[in-house]
Amino acid sequence: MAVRMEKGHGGQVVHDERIDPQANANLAVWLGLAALTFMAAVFVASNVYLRGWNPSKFTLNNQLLTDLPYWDTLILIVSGVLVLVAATFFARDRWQAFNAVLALAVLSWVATTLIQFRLMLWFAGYNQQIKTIDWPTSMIVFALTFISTVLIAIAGWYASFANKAKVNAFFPVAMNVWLYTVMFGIVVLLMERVLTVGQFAAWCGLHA
Amino acid sequence: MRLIAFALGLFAFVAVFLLVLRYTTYLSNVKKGRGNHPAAPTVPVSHDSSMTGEDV
Repeated sequence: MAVRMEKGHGGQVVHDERIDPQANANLAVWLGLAALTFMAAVFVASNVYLRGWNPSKFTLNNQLLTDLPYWDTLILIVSGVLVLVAATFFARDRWQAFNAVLALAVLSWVATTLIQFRLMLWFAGYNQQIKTIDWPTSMIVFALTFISTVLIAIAGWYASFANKAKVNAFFPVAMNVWLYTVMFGIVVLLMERVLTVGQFAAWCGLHA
Repeated sequence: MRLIAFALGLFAFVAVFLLVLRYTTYLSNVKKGRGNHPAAPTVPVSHDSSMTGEDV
């Protein structure tokens, strides 16, 4: 990893002891997100297994509730692609194109955040089983999409400065959270809608 | 079958973890070696007298 001399106050050269704070930030953010993954997985698995509910209780009988997570995840994937496109402009210092793509990405992230918020409320009011498993996971996804939206707003604000040092430092680290949010959304869709929590419960040996 | 699926999932998780980390590290580093840093000196500076013992 390239280590460069930083200029301290007064312009003197400060020896930075081969520490790259931004690489450490990337790793720290990722380790935190990995911890969140295991927390969510243990939460779902232990609740499904220990509570011993009938697997059929996890079935959603509402067309809107079964379809909307797929649309939401589709918008989430589009949001992820948009920040990746913005990143290619970011790497080439093409700030106008970067700002334009970032503006589109904001719309897409806000859309997925709002849908996820509505889904979260619907899951909370469905039944006790859905409320126990789907509601907390959708809360985590909502929190992640909301944080992503805030981060993208901050990135856009920093990008409006004439001095690009702040956005240069901020954008790569925030990218960890955006990409993680997209992947978390896809995994939750696969685990709870494509496969179902009921199938997992049946696999755990739980029956009526 | 389930064991294979679990192993694949774990492998994918670790692989994605490392790939994204590599990508964001690339994004972090791509700007460091270029452009005018606002604090950079406008006249060429000799590094011969650097006491850090490193070539910059």
